[in-house]
Amino acid sequence: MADLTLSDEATLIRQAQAGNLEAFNALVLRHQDVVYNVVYRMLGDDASAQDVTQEAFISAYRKFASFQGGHFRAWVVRIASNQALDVLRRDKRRPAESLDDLADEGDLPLPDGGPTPEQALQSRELQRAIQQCLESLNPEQRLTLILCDVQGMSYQEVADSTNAQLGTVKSRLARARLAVRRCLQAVEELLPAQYRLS
Amino acid sequence: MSMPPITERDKALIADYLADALAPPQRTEVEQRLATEPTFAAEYRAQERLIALLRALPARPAPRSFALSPEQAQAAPRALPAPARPPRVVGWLLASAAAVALLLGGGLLLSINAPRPEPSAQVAAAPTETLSPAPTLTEADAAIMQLLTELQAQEALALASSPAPTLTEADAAIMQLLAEMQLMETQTAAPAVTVQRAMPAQVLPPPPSRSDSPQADTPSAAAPAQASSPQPEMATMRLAEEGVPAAEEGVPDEAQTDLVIMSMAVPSATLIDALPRLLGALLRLLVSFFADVTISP
Repeated sequence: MADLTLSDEATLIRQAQAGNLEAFNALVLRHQDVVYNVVYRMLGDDASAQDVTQEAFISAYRKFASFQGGHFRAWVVRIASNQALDVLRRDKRRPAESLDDLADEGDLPLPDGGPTPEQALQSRELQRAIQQCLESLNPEQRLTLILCDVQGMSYQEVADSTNAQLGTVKSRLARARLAVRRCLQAVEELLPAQYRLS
Repeated sequence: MSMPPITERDKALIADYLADALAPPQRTEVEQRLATEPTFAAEYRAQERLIALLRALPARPAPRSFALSPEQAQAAPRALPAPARPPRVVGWLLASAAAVALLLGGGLLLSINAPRPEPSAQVAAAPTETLSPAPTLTEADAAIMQLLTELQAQEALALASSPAPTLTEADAAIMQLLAEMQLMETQTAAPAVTVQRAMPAQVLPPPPSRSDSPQADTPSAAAPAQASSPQPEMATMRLAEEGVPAAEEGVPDEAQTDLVIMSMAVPSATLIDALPRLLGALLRLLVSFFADVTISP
């Protein structure tokens, strides 16, 4: 698909709100990677993440008449993250990460090019540790950290996606970072040199 | 030389700097401190590396397309009927309005039956400026009408935004209530509310009987007197400005006698008869809300 500009997205939104399913699906395809990643990092489970992502887009289609402009991505991420939070609250579980999930992960970038098998294993172990540290956070802090530090969203976009004030976003982010730093100190030996925190 | 410990403010400052959320003067402050304070710089490095580590987590591509099939789109109808919440909110407003109106109506009935002084005696005895202490029937009428009109407008707005409005018993009760109110307004010439201002010490003649008034039927007690439609009841709405006779505004002479304090005027018998119907309509409104019965048109 060609690189869509904001004006293209505005056109798609207008057409989708008028009932054009193809336009809506174009928006889905454009933002599904971000939405899926957020949900996956929230739930830590691929199967659950797929279900929630699909439900989120169905729900977005159903509620599209109520979308009043602004960032479509923030709006649909909010829908998806609310559903993910509902799953977490309902299940109150720490999902076991399957080895298959880890096998699908890419590797953390390392400065010396392609990883050796040992490095690849170490990378997967590190990702597992990071994911576990994320899951040790409360859902709101986890979501804020994922949106801001994993997805690279701005404070305002995170605030829009979580329906929170900017001050609340910063507060949650500070607590989440502190908690993850402490959590990662236990596995610091797994961290590549450029990522060592101390 | 011991360095000052890093504070929460320092951590927040560094976080905002890394998020590019600082104004230029604050950015300059951070950069200066990075160059001169080792503990500050150490905290900056720790935050920067954590963010880089999290940012470097591999992005998982969506394992499949989440685009909606036509069947999924059909199963998720977009034009849904209005959720229960807005009508329930309006219903609560209606119920609250009905309760308030019931209280007002009950209070008014009690005040109607209370003994009242003669108007002329009241005029002679109260030369100073006071506002009518107790709500009059007209004030209650106006308040109820306004409240119900606003609620009706809100409900109309809520129903307009709903693709499938339904006529509820509450709607029917509102319509009946408004009809009753309009009937009461047309059947009674509601006494106007006046603000008693400082009046010269004089005994004003009693107001003429209604049959003497050139226009007995007044659609609204709130309409100001207009030079083109001099109505005695409308004239009573005008503030009796000290030293400013209402005749300057085109009010007929006979209307001057109507510029008396009427805050304790005795309402007409028709209004008293209509009050039970009004209260009955309000009760039905309350009952219909709590019964939560919906009648489709």
